[in-house]
Amino acid sequence: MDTVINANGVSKHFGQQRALDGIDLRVNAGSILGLIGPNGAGKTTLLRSILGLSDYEGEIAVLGHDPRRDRSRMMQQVCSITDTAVLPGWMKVNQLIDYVTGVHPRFNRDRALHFLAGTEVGMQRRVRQLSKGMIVQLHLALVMSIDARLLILDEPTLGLDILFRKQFFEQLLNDYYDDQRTIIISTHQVEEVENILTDVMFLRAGKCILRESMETIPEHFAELHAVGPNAALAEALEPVGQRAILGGRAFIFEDVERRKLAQLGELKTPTLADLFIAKVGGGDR
Amino acid sequence: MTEQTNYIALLRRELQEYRNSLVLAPLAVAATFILLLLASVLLTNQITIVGSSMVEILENSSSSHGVNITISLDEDQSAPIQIVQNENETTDAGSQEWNFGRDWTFNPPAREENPLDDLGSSKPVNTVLNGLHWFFLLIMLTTSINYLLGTLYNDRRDGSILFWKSMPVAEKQELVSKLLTVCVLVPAIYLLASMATQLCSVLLAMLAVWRMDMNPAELVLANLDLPSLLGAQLGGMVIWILWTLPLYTWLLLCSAAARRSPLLLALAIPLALVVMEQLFFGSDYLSSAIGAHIPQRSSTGADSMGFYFQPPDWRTLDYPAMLGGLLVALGFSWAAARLRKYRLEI
Repeated sequence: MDTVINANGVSKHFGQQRALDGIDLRVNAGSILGLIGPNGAGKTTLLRSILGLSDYEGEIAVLGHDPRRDRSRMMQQVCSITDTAVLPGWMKVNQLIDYVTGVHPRFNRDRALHFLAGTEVGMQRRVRQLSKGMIVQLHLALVMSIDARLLILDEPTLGLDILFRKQFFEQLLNDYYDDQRTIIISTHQVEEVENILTDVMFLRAGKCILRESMETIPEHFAELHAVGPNAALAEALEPVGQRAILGGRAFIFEDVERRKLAQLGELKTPTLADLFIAKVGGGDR
Repeated sequence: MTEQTNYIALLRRELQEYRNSLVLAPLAVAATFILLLLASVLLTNQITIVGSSMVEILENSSSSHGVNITISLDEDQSAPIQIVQNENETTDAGSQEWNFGRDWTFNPPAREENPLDDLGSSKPVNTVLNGLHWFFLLIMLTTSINYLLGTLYNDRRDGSILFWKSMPVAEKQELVSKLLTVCVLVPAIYLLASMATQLCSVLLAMLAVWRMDMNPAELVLANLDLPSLLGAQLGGMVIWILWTLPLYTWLLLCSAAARRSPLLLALAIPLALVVMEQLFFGSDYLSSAIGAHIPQRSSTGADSMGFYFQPPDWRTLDYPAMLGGLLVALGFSWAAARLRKYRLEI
């Protein structure tokens, strides 16, 4: 399987503050990686390093390119949408499409027009006249019309209502994704992306605290709902996190035998959100 | 897709973003001039402003006059003070000073030379047209400065830099496109607007003269030296670009570096350096160097070659100073590209 991103020992400091601390990352073609972490965990810094927008220590290769030295050639095969990357408000939609047509060798203008035909985005309207939802639709239409191999999304749906968010991810999966394309999504709305991810990475204080395939999460993690005296027994098995539930407590365990846990209560696979809270915050213990 | 296609898209983007100042402003100025001239020619039945001005200029185009004063202390002479009108003044720096000999003499320059009087041609119509062109240059300078200060700053302020950077365009290409805009496209647009205005002015002046029952060919065309006019304005534009490039790239660098006000940064740093040089070394090399590369109104000859008021004399051009300026411009451009690489926010 092709490796799209290969990063080794990536670190980044802002003065005394360590934003990234020796991150190793390998992303294969066809995967959808969720990058999840609290504010200030280093998600945006990592994504900017991958995109060649930030200097760093260590090594990163994206599709064989060094992002620091070869960014413009790399960007022929890499797209990105970030919450902070607003489209230029002074531009008309048709001017924006003309610009991307002019500078991007892999942009398909007809495809973009096809995507936009199903929206309320008018070609003669200026970007600043569009609503936040329409701007994201426009940006997504542009990005999906580029035959890129890697798409990086940094909080792409922040500020959108639930209908737009749902539509965004549906369109991404239906009209864009295939097994040759790779997507990295950084988001706080873990529940909304959980079902589309193939891989997940948790970041905290610049460090990677979890890197798993979604397929292997049930093998390594289990959530136990225990009541009464079993809750005390479960706590003795050193869960990575726990929280109160109706009539008892829920515990999340890492690499503990399921057979042993099953004797103490109901077992299930933790959701990504619960796993994130357990790994990052340890629950409400 | 070729790099050329890339540049066309980048240049078109620049003109779209700054359409008002870079494209519409010169057209609006040209249209205003032409309409005013047209109105004055068509709506006035008597001698029009244009016509009278033109005729006045044409009629007064003879050589300038000066006065020589001689004060004789010879007691035998009955007329100790003599005032002689100098009909054919040739200004000589030495003769402008007081001579404290037996006869005190003072030969002042005929009058303050108007820089527009000596615009590479003795033809009076050229003088008027060059004056018109000067107005366009002034607006071009203002809009170019505004463009350069904003072009690498505004997109950092509104966050759209991250969209531009999501496209496969290198910082070098971006910088080159901005320099091409301000050094080639903008001068070309302003030059065309200026020349169209000048052409219309000549035609309207001929119309005005004709309405006054005079011969337009004799009074207007005979007083126009077209090759000299074109040479002065085209050559002047080339020199303008070469000499202002250090200033332009400095503004670009400040635009890429500024976190608050690019203008403040662009003024404060040179000012601080000039003051420090004067305080610590007592010299003014920096202020002279900066001054030489700022467009200015100048009436002297070769030392003001950078700026427009003399037609270019390539033989007397200060090539080392120009080359030095171009090297500095290269350094500023390199620094701006470096800053542009990672400075994404203000």
